This record gives sequence, C-alpha cells and structure tokens, in this order.
Amino acid sequence: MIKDPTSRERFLNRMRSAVQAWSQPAVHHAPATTPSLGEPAPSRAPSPPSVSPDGDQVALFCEMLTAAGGHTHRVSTIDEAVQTSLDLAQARGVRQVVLTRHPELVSFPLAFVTAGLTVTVVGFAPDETPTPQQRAVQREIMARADLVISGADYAIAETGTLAMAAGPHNPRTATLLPPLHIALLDPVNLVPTMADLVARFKSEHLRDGRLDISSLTFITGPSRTGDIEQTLSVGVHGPGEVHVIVLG
Amino acid sequence: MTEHGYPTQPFDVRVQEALDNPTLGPAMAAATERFLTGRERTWHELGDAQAVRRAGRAARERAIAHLDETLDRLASNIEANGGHVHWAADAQEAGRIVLDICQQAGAKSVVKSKSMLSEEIGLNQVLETAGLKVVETDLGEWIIQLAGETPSHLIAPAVHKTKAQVAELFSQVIGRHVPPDAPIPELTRIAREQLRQAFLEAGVGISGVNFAIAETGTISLVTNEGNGRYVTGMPPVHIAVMGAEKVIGTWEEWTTTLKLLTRSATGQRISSYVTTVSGPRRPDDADGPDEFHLVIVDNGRSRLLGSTFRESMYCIRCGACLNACPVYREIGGHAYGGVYAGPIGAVQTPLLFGLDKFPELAHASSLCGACLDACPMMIDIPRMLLELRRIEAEGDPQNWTRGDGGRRTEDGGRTTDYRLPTTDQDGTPEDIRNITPADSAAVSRRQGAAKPGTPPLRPMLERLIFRVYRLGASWPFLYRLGAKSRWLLKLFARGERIPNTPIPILKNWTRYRDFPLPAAKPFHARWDELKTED
Repeated sequence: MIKDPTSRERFLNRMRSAVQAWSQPAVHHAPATTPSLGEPAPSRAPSPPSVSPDGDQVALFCEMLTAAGGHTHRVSTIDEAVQTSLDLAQARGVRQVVLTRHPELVSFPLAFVTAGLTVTVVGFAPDETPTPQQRAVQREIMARADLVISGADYAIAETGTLAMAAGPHNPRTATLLPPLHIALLDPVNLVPTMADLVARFKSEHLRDGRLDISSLTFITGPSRTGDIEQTLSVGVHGPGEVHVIVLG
Repeated sequence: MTEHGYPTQPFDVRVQEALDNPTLGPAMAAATERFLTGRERTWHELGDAQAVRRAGRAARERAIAHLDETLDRLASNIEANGGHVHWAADAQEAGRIVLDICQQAGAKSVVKSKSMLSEEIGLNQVLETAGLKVVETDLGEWIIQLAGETPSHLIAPAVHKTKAQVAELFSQVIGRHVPPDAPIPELTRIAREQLRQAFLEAGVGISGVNFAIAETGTISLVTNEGNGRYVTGMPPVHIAVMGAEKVIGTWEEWTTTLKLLTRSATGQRISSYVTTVSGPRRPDDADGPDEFHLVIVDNGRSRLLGSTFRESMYCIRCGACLNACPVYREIGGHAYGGVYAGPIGAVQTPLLFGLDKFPELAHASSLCGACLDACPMMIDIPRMLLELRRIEAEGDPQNWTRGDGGRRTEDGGRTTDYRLPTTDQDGTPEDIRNITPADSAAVSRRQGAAKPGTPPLRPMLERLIFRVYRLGASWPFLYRLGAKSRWLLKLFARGERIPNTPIPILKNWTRYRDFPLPAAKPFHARWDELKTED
C-alpha cells in the first residue's frame, strides 16, 4: 500500500484554510448564532419518562427494556437466576449453550451440564494471549450455539440498555451470534442515564487519556428490522430474544 | 437508474416515474408518518427538547468550527489506539485507499453495513470492478443491492419494495422458489442465513461512521439489526469510512447527539445496538479485527466548510427532514437523482456533484420550512435552497456548478481541482470570499461576465418571462394592462383556472399546477373604487 506521508497535512491544510476564511466576519452572512426557532408544536404536553416515584432504577430499566421488546426477570439469589435461565433454555429446546467468562456466572455451567445441555465457556483468562486457532474455534462454537448467557458490564435505566466492554473475558460477537441471549445484571452496574454511564466508563477505562478497551457495545432489546414493508421483524442478524435477569 | 452520482434522466421524468409507481406513494406515506409519529412520541421525553437541540447543535458547531484541529486529534488518538488513518481528497482517492487495504488483506469478499458515504463515493462499484464480492448486510440495503437499485430513504432504503418483490429477489439468491405471500419472518430468516454465511467468510468489513469521537479516537455506529456489530467485529480487517464532518469532540457531546439522532430518525430512545470501536483488537481480546482503518473523506467538504453552506455539514443523517417534507413524501428518494435525497439532499447533492447536474433540486421545495422545524441540528435548509436558486439565476462566480464530489472521468484522470484557492492581498481565499451572498450578488452584478464564472443556469425563456414580469411589476401602467389579459387567457380556462394548457410557455407549468386567471376585478381596481367611495 502506498501511503503518502503528506496526505494528512494537505487534507488538514484545506480544512484549516476554509476554517480561517470563515472566521473572518466579512466573509459569511449566515447567522453565526443558531437561528431562533419556535418549539415544534407538541401534540401533547411534554412528559418525562415514567419513573417510579421512589426513583427505582431497576423498575425503570425493566419498563424500558420491555418497551424495547426485551424481557426481564427479577430474582433474589444466584440459584434462582440459574433456574430461571435453565427454564428459559429448556422451554425453547436449547441444546448448545455458551457462557462468557463473567465471574458471576461461575455456578451456571454445572446446572446446565447436569440438565444434559452442552456448555462452553468462551473468552479467555486475562493473562493468556489467545492464538488465532483458539479464537477461530471459539467463533465456530459461538456460531452454532442456541443460547448465550452473559453478564452485563453496565446497564442504563432510562433506555433499558445493556453495555458490554470487550476484553479477554467477553468476546464482542458472543452476544450477537446465538438466537437467544440471557444476561445477568447486578444492579450495582445499573446507572440512570447514558451520561452517567459515560462518566463511569471513563473513570474505569480511561487511563492517561487513552481507553484501555477496543470496543464498548450497547444492546437494547432484540435485533430488529422494519425493512420489509415496514413490518417489525426480530432476530434478523442478532438474537431475536433478549432476557435480562436482575439480581437482588 | 443512476450512473454513479449522476442522474440519467431529467428531473421531471424522474418525478413522473415516482408518481406513476403504484407502491411508492402509499409506502412513502406510511413510512414517513410512522417515523414522524415515533419522533414526536420520544421527542417530548427529552424534557426541554429545545435545550437538548441547542446543545446538540452547539456540539456540532464546536467540532466543525475547528475541523482541522478536531480531525487532527481524532487521527492521533486512533493511531495511538493502534489503528490506521487514511486521508482521501476525493471519491477516487477514497475508493483507491479502500481497495488497496482489501487487496493487502487478500480479501475475496467484503461485508458492508449501511454507509451513505460509500454510496457517495461509489465504493461498491470500485471494489466489484476489481473482482471483489461485496455484500450489503443491512436488510434493506441488501434487498436493493439484489435489485440493482439505490436507496430511496436514508433510514429505510428499500421502503419502495413490496414483500412479493422481496420474495422474488430472494428466490433468485437461494435458487429455490419463495412464494410471494411468504410471511415476513420467513423472509427475515432467509436473509439471516444468507448473510450469516457472508459475515463468516468475509476478509474485510466496511462500515460507515455515525459519529467519531475525537478525544479517545473512537467511532460509533448505530444499527437495529446488528449487522454493524458483525461488520466491525468479525472479519479480520475493519475499514470505517467517514465524511470529514462526522467528528465530534467528546463522549459527553456524543451522548447528546446520539439521543437526538435515534429519536429523530426512527423515534427510538436508543437503537437496538450502538457500537463504539476504539482501534483494533487488543492483543488479549477474545475477538475483534486485527486491523482497524479509518478513511476520512473530503470530496468537496472543505469547500462547503468555507462557504455559506457550511451549516449543511452539521447534518447527522437522521432523515427527519425527509419525513417532514411534503415534496419528498410525494416523490420519494429516487426522483432526487443523487445519493442524498429530501431537503438536505436538495442542498448537498448540487453542491457536491454540481449545480448544473442537479439544477432543479433547489426548486423541489415549497420552502414551507418543515425541514427546519424537524431538523434536530436546526439547519436552515430553506435559506440554503434560496441561496442555490439565487446562484442559479444570477450565474455562478464561485463555480458551484462544477461540484467537487463524484468522479470526473471525462478526461480519464482526476480533474477535481484541489489546489488551495488563490488569495488576495488580505489573505482571504478569493473563491471563498466570493461565496458570500451579499458580496457575490454584487460581484455578479458589477463584474458580470468579466468575472470568470458560469452563466445563469435557468433557461433563457424562463429568464425572459421573469424579466417581462419584473418590467410589468415595476410599471403600474403595464401591470394594469397585464391584468387585462384575462379575456385572452380565458379562451384556455376552465372556470377560473387554466389546467393543462397547450400554450407552449405555460405547458410545463400547467402539467402539475393550475394557472389562475387574473381576477375579473383586480385588487387595484377595487381599491380605486373604495377610494372614490370615500
């Protein structure tokens, strides 16, 4: 590949000269301030999202995820979470299960194996650098799985959104390939808004101005499309069914 | 239907085709209505929506006011993350860069998620000519790729296709008959299987960029289907292509613009998936691409940046102005003839591809202002449409006629002129200075043909008619005389209007609009009467 070392400079110079031309007041007539606009006529009075009066973020999260076509289950113990996932899996005839390497999922494999399902834990331990072969094998397993069970690194109440940070323990495509996704959410990872999430994400992953992960993915409900005759259809590429089990 | 970037038929023919299409009208009406209703519903949840809108616009203004610095920061951070950044002056260069990367990677097939920029630069054509298999993976884009068409809506590219037409296309792909009444989930399942295979085989994934966040060197993508996650996460090489304007400063600003984007586009609080990518797979990551490339494309944007049309660069491609536009809702996207349709397309297409190629688009608007009301970035589209009309009528000293986008191959090479504009004494680039409307109106009047520019684009006859009208309107005597033409025009009228006249001058006008007769008793006559009554 021939890469011209000065293409960047030439590109940025063009932009710079346009930026400078613009900043000379004689040159433009377009309002420098934003045009003042009337509020678009509301069909009804503005109403903030329905929040339970006590500000119960878990309840809001469940409400918003349900609105986005997802399902939520509230449980009080890990054992209950395991049982709920197993019930969901068995009701759908799941045979192959993949689990991400989230620490809170350690008690899941035994129950699933005992029930006669094939379980594979995907992702790698933090200190092992996976070979391309190992990664290819895992991809093949994920592509054949009927169900993925993952943790949730973060969640946003105002939109019912899960957020997954890529890493050794957490393949980006694990929560994408199988048709059914069950996520276990610990409410300590739940924040009210996207802005709160960004603040927390930065505090945990921004080191000296540099992000220490390659990807952060937000998931809100199932994969959906309206591209054929504007009719909603789920599961076109990603999971058609998303369940979030909220602990505590 | 379009040779890349340029329409092959005149605007009125394109419009007539759209109006004659029996499925397009109802589909457009339903889609735009659905998006508008959804937008309305989620818009008010923002609380003080106007404040959010102002914050979003301010964020875009900040990024673009110092675009050179913002892009520089973005590029440095992406490189620090282990990614590669490429700079493309025009469509051809962008195509060549992407093709080079694909060939270096030894890719035979490429999966793409929806990117308007890739349409703008004709990327598929470049890759396919070089022998690569290119698969669009957004369901709507895939459908129109199979049909050999172009998108008709920013958000819903295949909105003009019926279920039966999709079944027909799918039958050809899978080599098995899919009944025209196959249920939509069945069609979706076929797409899932076919495209899943494409994802697993592809050597390169090509995505667009919804926003690039400068402070950390991160690109973000918004999808509902999940194809964006595949394209960015599964093939060994990921190439993201972006127009230079798609950059934003910080993650905080990103949350604001993201909120406005999904609500304005589909009326969703957030799309099913939002993917952010900060460089390639880290060494211990479980998956993700080994290489990450960002191709930043100018293709005429640096000209917009220094011009009165700069505001158009704040566009976040949500499609809200399309849905709100009474003209777009009737004719759909194809009639616009370019990559970008609707009100914002009527501004950008002529500027990027040449006003002479798209002389009618600025007129395909009633200037009702619905686009301005709908735009989350408050882009004053009507102002820019008027400005384009002015340039068209008065001649074009800045040579917007030429446009800078698209590929110009008439002479077999790159003819797009990217030399920096010559500067006059005070250092202002000459051709940018000329762009100021007040200034350039004066220039065109004062210097007229002396200034090397292009002559007016409006037809001679039309200019003549307006000249006569101007004369009439400035001389009361002539005006009164004109009002008396009623008796003559009445010969062609039905009632008070002239529909479909054979008079050559009025023929095209009356094909779509009735021409009103001058009133039997014009206002000035009544006014005179009233005055005498006093």
